[in-house]
Amino acid sequence: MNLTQLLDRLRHTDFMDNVTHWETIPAKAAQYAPFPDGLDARIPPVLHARGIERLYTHQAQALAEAAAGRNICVVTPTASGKTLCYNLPVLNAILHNPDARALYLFPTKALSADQVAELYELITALDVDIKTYTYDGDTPAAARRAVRQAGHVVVTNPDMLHSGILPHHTKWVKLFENLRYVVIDEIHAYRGVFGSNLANVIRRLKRVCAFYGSHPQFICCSATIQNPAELARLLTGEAFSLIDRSGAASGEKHLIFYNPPVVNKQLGIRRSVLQETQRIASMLVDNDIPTIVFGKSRLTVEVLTRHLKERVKDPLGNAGRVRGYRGGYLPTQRREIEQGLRRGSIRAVVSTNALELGIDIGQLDACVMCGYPGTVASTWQEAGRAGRRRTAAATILVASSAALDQYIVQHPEYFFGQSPESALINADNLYILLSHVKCAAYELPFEEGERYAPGVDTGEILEYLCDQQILRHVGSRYHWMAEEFPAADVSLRSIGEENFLIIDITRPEHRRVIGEMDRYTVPMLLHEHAIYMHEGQQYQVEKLDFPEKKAYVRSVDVDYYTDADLNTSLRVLDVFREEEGAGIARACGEVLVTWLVTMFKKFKLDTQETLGFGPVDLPELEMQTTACWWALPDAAMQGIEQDVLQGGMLGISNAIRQLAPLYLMCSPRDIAVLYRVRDPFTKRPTITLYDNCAGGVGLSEKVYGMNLLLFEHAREMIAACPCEAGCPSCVGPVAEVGAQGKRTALLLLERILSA
Amino acid sequence: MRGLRERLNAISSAPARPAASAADDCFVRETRVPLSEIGGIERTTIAQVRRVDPTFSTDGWDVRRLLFLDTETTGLSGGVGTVAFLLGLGFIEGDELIIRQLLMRDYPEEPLLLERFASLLPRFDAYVTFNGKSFDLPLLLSRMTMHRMRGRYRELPHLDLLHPARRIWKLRLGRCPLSALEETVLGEGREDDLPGALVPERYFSYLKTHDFSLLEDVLRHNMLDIRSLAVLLARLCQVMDAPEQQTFCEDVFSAGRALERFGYVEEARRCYHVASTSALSERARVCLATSYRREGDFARVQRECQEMIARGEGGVFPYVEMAKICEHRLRDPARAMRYTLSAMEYLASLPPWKERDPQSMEALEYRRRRLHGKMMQSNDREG
Repeated sequence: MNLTQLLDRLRHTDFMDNVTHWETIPAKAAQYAPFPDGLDARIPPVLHARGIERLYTHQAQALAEAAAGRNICVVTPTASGKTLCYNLPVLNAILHNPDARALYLFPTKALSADQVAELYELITALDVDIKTYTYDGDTPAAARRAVRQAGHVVVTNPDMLHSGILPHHTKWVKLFENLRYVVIDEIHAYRGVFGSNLANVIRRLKRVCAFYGSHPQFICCSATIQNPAELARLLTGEAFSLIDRSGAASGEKHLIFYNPPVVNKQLGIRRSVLQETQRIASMLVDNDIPTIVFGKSRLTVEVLTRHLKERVKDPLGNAGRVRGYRGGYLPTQRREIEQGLRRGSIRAVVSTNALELGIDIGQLDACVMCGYPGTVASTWQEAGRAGRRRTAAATILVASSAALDQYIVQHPEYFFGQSPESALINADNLYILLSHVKCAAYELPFEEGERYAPGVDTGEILEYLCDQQILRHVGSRYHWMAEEFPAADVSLRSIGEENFLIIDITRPEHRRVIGEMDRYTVPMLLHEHAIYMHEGQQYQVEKLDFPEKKAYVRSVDVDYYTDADLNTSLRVLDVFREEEGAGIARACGEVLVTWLVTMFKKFKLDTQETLGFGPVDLPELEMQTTACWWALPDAAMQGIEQDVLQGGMLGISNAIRQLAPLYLMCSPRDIAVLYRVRDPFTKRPTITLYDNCAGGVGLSEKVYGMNLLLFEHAREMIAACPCEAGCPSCVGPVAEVGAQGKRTALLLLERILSA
Repeated sequence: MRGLRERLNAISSAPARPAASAADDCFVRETRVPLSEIGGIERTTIAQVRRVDPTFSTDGWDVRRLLFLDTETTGLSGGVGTVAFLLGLGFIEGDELIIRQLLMRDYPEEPLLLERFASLLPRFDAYVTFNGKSFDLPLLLSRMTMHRMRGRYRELPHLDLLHPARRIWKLRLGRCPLSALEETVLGEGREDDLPGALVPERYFSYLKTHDFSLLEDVLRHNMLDIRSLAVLLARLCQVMDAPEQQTFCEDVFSAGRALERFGYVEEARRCYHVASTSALSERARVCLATSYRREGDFARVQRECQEMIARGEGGVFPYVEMAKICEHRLRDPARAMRYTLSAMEYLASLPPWKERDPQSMEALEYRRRRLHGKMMQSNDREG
């Protein structure tokens, strides 16, 4: 059966009992525009040869706006010919003036490799001397000189611009003197900490350009988010023309919300999202429909991959038609999988959101999401992986029992009525700002009265750095006065780049590196005795060498997997603001969060039942961030016993954890919520919400500003929930919060809010 | 000139603070060293220099138009925030080496320092440095770019002594920083020298306190570096002129390797001969045999290999070479087979922890089979 046939059949089965919504988005015809006048005459024939007779309207518009000297922000779906929106203006400019230069920024190396290949094909077809080079950590030292001197288009990533190019700008004189365009693709990837860092790197870039007398135009591309033009402005400090009407054709699309059936009504427990995803994905794979399955964690991806591989295994045990894909696989392996998907030799891929970004894997027919991806934007982006220009495509969202998932599938009108989330950044976050002012001061001495960015009290920061004896204020300038190389101390991404290597020692004479993992995840997945899964194959961790950043694993075949328990603790370092309300005291400030993995559990692969426990002995990890906390008044606790109180507070925390992302417009991953019956800092029962990344990005401060809004909505949500004594959609299951958890949570909320 | 010397002495013995910075110039100190102390630098010829560094090319050669150069910097990161706060320049005038040091007493003096440097450049034909190709000169170009003086920079032929020095002395000394060379090669160890790693911190301390005495060590260190550069160049020229007369067999051997690479085959062989009578006999003979083979002088290759076999030197090398000669030159497969088997026996006898090239065993096995075939054929013909 092909997809359309399969969908028709599903409409007449009990599959529909669990479908809460089936949205059909009609097919759309293409809208074309002629090649504009200003386009170099050599370009159209080359496009003709590649089957492009006319431009889509959005491509023509991009050319026209760029030619008029405006910064443009292009928002169009995948497979709409987005790359021409920047390649054409750039090539046109260089053909017109061979001295002109362009800088392309992609969030990951994989993306830049794809785009260079495409641009390179165009240039080859044009048969002109335009040099395109990738400049990243993999560029051999011998080639770097040529890139610096002769590259017309330099393709790199923010990290390399930050630490490899800007601090060495005197070696890039040609580039900076002639920089016409800066292309930033996938800007929606730059949210939170990463985006705040990039905004500062761009401030530094513009400062260096100004020194060399160039004022580049920006071309930004984004997936659908609520505020693409605003994000582009926040990232670059420039105004943008928004191009968001795609002229590309698209086939019919189905978006299906699927809620696994309830298996225990009293406890509000539904069938596992993992099992239901497996079932639906298997059905697609059995029909040989090209499919992508998104899992939210590495573990989910591996468990699903293993299952699907089992399903398609031929008599010889080959299951290459199904592959896993996630961060932590080696680059060569990832390239091979991407290529297999484009060529069609791989029919199904199970991935984390690593494939959400615009890596070219061609277009697939079906997409299955194991759980709600967390944001409207991510959902559309993942759904966009399934969709062709002419034929139908389907996305099936399988809801987990989490409240957010349940809310989304039970209120489809909410999802479809909701514009995608805004991408938030806070470029003036002091922690981030200070790091980049240091880098900027290293790159060019600040002049007295110079402003690093609008609204930033540059003088104050510079004087602070003078006090720290990092800068020297002499004459009318601030000079760098330290041996260190400041860019080396700043990582743009919230999670440290220092990865651990995973080494397979199954055959000791043939050790091989099979993957890598960031240090924050290592204690969870690579502690000794853990079962680490890689492309569905199980490995047991034999030795974790923490100082050397290496994990030694041996291939095993067991019927269980492991998951570790994480203990999080939190210490207040500084209070920024506080307010003693009548019912509750709230404050926000700087905190130190520490994580410690103390034990792990074994779960049976097919039934997920617990098989046993084991200890983990690893050092703790730390992160400094911002938090908002609420201390409950003694009056609220009257007559409530200690253990009952605990259930109530856990219930409120659970509700807030689920509600906050809706009001903060962030991913659930961006925040964390903790509670303590007796907080060592406030000495009272306290609930704390913190930004889940080093330095924070202002989410906690925003929550602080909302006063008790979250508590009001929590009360409404819990009161309106039809469950008896608690379920995953309100305060959490009874097993977690206790028989009186729901009642206690409501009682506490009533007392807090009516005080 | 006496007047200047007196003034200089006055500066170096002056109390902590130097005269307040006159805003229109950087601090300059000049030291003069009689050429008699520089080991005959004035007699070096372009022919000698070409043996030191065959990539060095210049139109005319005049030792008096060489600019010896070394910087002291605020760091080693190589990024644009690193500043060369002290620039030491050396050149020959009359019968003296003049060492002129340009120092910025604070950041505003940097453009003045660079200006002085730039205006000196037209007087010179070439730079002489130690690691200046990858460090000092790119740094100066970067600083001039920062001060919008990029156009004043001059690309000149550049004699960077780091690699030539490594070629000769690395075998004996291991690492080759200028200070180690001074002590062991030039015989001029420094007393109370400021380690280079402490230089940036010293300069920052000076900026914070304005205590000029903190910089005296740095100035002295840099002055001695310039002086050593000149001595080192003279010394390198002498070594390459009379390589086989060096005291240490490692130096003789290393010079031979360098000379052979640059095409001075006869001189190289003379070095190998000398070295072959020393502790480096084994390596020297391998080089010698290889060098003869390259020229097709198989009689000599044979002689060296047999000598090595007799002395139990050269590992598997002489056996393999003899096998090749016997097989292809002497057309004596049986004799070639004996050498091949000896080579295999030798490899097999190595203790298990000794590193060996797995390919060489394979190649030997391949040779053995081929020789076996040849022997069978000739047996057939004879039979």
